[in-house]
Amino acid sequence: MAVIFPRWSNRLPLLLAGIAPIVLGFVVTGVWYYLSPNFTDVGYRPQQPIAFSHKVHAGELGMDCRYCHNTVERGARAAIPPTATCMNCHAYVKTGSDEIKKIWASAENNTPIEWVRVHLLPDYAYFDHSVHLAAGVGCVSCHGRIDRMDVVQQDQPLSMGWCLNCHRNPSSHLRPRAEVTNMDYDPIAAGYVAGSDEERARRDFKLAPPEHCSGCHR
Amino acid sequence: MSITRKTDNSGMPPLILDDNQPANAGRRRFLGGTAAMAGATALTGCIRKPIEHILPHAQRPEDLVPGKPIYYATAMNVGGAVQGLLVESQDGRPTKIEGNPSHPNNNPLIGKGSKHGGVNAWAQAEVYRLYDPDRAQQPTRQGAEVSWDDATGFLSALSDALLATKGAGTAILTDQLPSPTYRALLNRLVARCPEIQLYEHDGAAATHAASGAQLAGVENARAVIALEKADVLLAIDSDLFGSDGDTVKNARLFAEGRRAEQVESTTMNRLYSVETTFSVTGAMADNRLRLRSALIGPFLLRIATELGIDGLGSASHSFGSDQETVDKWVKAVAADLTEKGGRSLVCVGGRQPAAVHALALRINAHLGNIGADKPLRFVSTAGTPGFRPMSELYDSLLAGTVKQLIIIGGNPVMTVPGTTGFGGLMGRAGISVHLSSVRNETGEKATWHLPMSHFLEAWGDLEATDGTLSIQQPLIRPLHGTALSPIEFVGALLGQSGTTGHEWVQQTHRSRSSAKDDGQSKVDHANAQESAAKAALKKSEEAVDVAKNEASKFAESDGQAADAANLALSATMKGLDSARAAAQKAETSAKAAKVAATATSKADQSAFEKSWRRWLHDGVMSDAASIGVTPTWRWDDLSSALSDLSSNHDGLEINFVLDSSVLDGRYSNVGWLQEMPDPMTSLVWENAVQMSPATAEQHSVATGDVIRLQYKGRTVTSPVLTSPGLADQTIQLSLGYGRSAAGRVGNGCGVNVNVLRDKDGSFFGAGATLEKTPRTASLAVAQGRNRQEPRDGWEGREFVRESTLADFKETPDFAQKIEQHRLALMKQDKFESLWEEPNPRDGQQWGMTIDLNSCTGCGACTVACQAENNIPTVGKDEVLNGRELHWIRIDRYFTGDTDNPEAVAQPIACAHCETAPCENVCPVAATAHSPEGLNDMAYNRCIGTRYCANNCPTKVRRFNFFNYAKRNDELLGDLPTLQRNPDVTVRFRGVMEKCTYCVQRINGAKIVAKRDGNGMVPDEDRPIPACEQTCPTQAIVFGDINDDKSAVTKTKKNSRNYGVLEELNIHPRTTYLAKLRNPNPALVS
Repeated sequence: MAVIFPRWSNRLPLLLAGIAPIVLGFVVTGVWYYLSPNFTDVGYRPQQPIAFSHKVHAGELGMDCRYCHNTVERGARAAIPPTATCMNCHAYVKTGSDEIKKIWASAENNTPIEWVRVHLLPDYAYFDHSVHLAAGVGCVSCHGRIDRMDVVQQDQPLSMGWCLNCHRNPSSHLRPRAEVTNMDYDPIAAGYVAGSDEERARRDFKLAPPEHCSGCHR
Repeated sequence: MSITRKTDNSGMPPLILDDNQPANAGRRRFLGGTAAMAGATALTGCIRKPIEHILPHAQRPEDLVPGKPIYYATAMNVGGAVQGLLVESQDGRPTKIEGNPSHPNNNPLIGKGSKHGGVNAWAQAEVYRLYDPDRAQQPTRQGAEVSWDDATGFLSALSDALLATKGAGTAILTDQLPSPTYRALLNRLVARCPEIQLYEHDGAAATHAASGAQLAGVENARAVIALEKADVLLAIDSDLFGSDGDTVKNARLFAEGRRAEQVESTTMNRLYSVETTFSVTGAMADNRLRLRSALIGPFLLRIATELGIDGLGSASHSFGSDQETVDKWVKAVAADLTEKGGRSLVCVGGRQPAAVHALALRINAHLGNIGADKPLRFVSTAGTPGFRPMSELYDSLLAGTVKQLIIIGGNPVMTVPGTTGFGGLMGRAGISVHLSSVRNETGEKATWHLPMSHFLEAWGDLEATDGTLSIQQPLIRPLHGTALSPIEFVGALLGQSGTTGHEWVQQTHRSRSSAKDDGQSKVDHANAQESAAKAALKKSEEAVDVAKNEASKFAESDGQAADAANLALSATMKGLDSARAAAQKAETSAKAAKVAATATSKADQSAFEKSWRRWLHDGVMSDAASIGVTPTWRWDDLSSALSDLSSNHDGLEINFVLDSSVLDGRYSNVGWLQEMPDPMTSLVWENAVQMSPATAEQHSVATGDVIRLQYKGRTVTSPVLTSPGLADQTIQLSLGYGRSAAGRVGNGCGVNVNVLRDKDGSFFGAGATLEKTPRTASLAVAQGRNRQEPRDGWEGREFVRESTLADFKETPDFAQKIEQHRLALMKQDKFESLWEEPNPRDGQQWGMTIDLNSCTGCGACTVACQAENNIPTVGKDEVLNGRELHWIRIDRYFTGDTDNPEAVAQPIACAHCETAPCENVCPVAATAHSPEGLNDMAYNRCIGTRYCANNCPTKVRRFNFFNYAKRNDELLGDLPTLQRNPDVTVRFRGVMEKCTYCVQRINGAKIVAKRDGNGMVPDEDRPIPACEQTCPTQAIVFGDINDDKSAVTKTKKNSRNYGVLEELNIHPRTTYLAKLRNPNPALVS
């Protein structure tokens, strides 16, 4: 009877026992990292139909976030502003620019501008901007330094674990309601919150961030 | 990839079979495919989410916050019963309908400070009907689609012909639409075309009540009942709370008379029900008598005789085997009615003939129940066009004298009694036009069919039975481009197709508003003055001209005469001067008056605009109360009409009823209603031949046997369904099924029994025969699996607990005996809890009570929940598999004698047990408790083991065996998805779901409280779940059980409060208030 397996194959099990954990480790680490929102979502920066720069508007010009996102304190959504809001200034400002002409076209034809969504939560997660602002969570906590972005990109993973981290330990993200849109405000440096005393933060600010399922999933 | 879909007659695809796989596909190919699929999924699904776009408005409407719903007030009409509505609009899409708390039909206790406005299931279902993809989208001519230009051309030609011929040879058949504008337009049409024939037919309207009132001499008035003023109520074959008239109002006022909040001071009204079928009203009755329909008139005649009313003829009908019971009943009921004279009421249902209605009026008049502040009053129907009896229409159609038949709304081919052969008769008209939202059986027969707008797309106004006027305002433009409302259609017939519904309605109410008349009349007056002055001036000038002419004429001939003429001229000139002065004065004053009057008119105009805006906001034009009418009775014809009543009780009596869900068939294409279980039989998606078990046994048939039913030479074939409580030797048939042109959902459900109905429009008749066929059918009865009632070898558990008022006063805590026993055992350490006993929790704790004493079992909550929570329908086959998805179901328990039972309805939804048995068996913690006492369900975590459903003692958990939402979308397209509530997840295949206490509404209220308040939701702003909000009787109360002052805490303190299966130590958050009946002791056997 012919030999089916050559002699070297005797060492195969040993070799496998040595290599398999390493491969498995790579696979686990790979999935852990490369399939997490930290890798897949953070830094997502789609091209928008109009080269609108937050850096210019919110950063250099110092416009308040709520001039455009004016429903953020009243509703669940921070609502992309209607073209009419752009036209408040751009009826007069930089009217010759090609980008502004796109706004004009939208205003004249009454057609919406098709912005590409950057911050996309799953359909089963319900987030409400207004209540977070009321609690004193600043824009910067979730959206990063928007005032330094020419093209908006996702700054935080927006994963469930990330949400819960803050719901469990909110204190370092809290600020007075007047400062929610202030990108430079540092609550600890400003002495607004004392380090990470979560119990005190909850007591002082009367916060009860939900940690149960139906807090976000309906 | 090709997908084949197997459809069945339920209208839902039962299974989707992938036939891509050849039969001999090898294992290797399968594995390869799977791997490729997995890879593709990983690449496309996980790594990057799909690209979504955000499309903001170019111009955002004022006050619109994207994602935040806005509510608009409007109103709807079903067969003359008007309901005021508040409609939720999500970013411009109407998604959910609630009752308008400002409308007295939805909130009859508005005067007592109630803020609860209920609606029935039909109102809830209207959003489904709005997005029905089977609605007519284009006009058709002889079945072929034509453009709106052609249709408009035809309409204007029709209008020209109508106006030219004064309407000769034209018949208009309209639905019952109590709209002042519509009626005014019809009147205007009749005024311009006096020879036009007007008919009214509505499958869901109680026609016999009107003719009964006419028989008693009531002209131009309709009856309005006020149940809060009646202590004793005798319902004669009347489904007051189900399908007869203003059901929401009736149920609410009736329930208010039996709240039983305190033990000692509790009084309750009493309801006697005498009926053939088992209606929800019969189930609510304190005493119920089963009688054949033909014997119900004679029964009432016996009561009248017992009350001492003369001149009605002989009351010597034989009641056969029921004689003894009837004798006892007549005595007891007559005594009770007399004792409560002035605060009692006899109501007759629409199925009974006119004579019985007139007789009931006679009795009510005798008892002193009629009057402005009495249970029954009459309001004027002045302004209603004169409709001719339908028999004239049949005759003139048959004679071929109708050249143009115009049908506005409705579906007469299905709802006019079948033996009339209306479909055939329509063909005898030269040309027939049908305006309706669906091209139904009538539309198919008509020469022209024009799409009618849904009421959420059109302007209108409606007058409720009691005369309350409400505005009907559109929430969305017609979804399919152009559509006409009935008002616009009649406007087009008048040759004014350019006038919009909005203008018509405004015109009606502008001329109604008296303020405007004042201003306008002042302007008119000033104008008249001015023109009179001008005329006087002109006359004087003419006189001067004449005199001048004369003078010059004379001057030529004769000097003396000329002098005289000159003298006369100067006199005339003087006259002219004064006339000029007078005219000028008049003109000046007229001008001043005109300016003033125009100013007043403008002020009136803005006053009208102001009140118009107020009406739009409230939905109710409160200043429009109808004029009360005192009828002049005429009882002469009554006895002869009564002697015509046949009391034939030979053989089987056939009974036609409006269906509890699809009504006369108008809601056939609404999946929610098709799948809403019948309150008594729980039958869904079809109708059946219903009979009592005794009758079935006598004819040796059983549930599921298909029989051939013969009546007056016509036959239908349908399965039998036995149902306790029906009168023996009668069969009950639901109208509204067996449709062929309802749409994809409703086609082919059940059997059309209308074909058996006699031309005279009667709803019952004796002499039916039945013949068993060898076939059997599976009837989809949604109940019986989850209910815990006695079965073979199983005693059942006391889910419903009931008592009588008298016993309740002796033992107020009768419902709590089981719990007391358990607590006693636990105290003696005979029981040990597996749990740490629930601690008093902090903050707000949500809980609910459901009062079985008020619940009629109508099913509105089931449909409201479906609309609010995106619950898909599953179809008949899936219901047969026990897979319906209702989060709140209505269980019906029969109690007492099997042959003559009572029935109790019990809404069951997740009880949110504090020690929930479902939670600790979930292997992935997909269901867990929230700190506020909710039993949360995280769909995205659920892996579908179904352990929780297995461990749920009340069987309220529902499993998505298929992706039902997607299946429905595949059948019906994208349009119905516009109805979905964006605040609730659409569930996928393989996940468990159940009642969440409308957590989206709780979270909404909490967000407002955290944002604008102190974080605690005050009781007056408490979240109201969809079931409570719609409940016509306010049987459901939800709220914070930690708050001593909340409404739910008060109801929980009631001694009738109990939890189902409390003995299992589950601590349910939803508890029930036990049912009480108030039977007449003389009738308790």
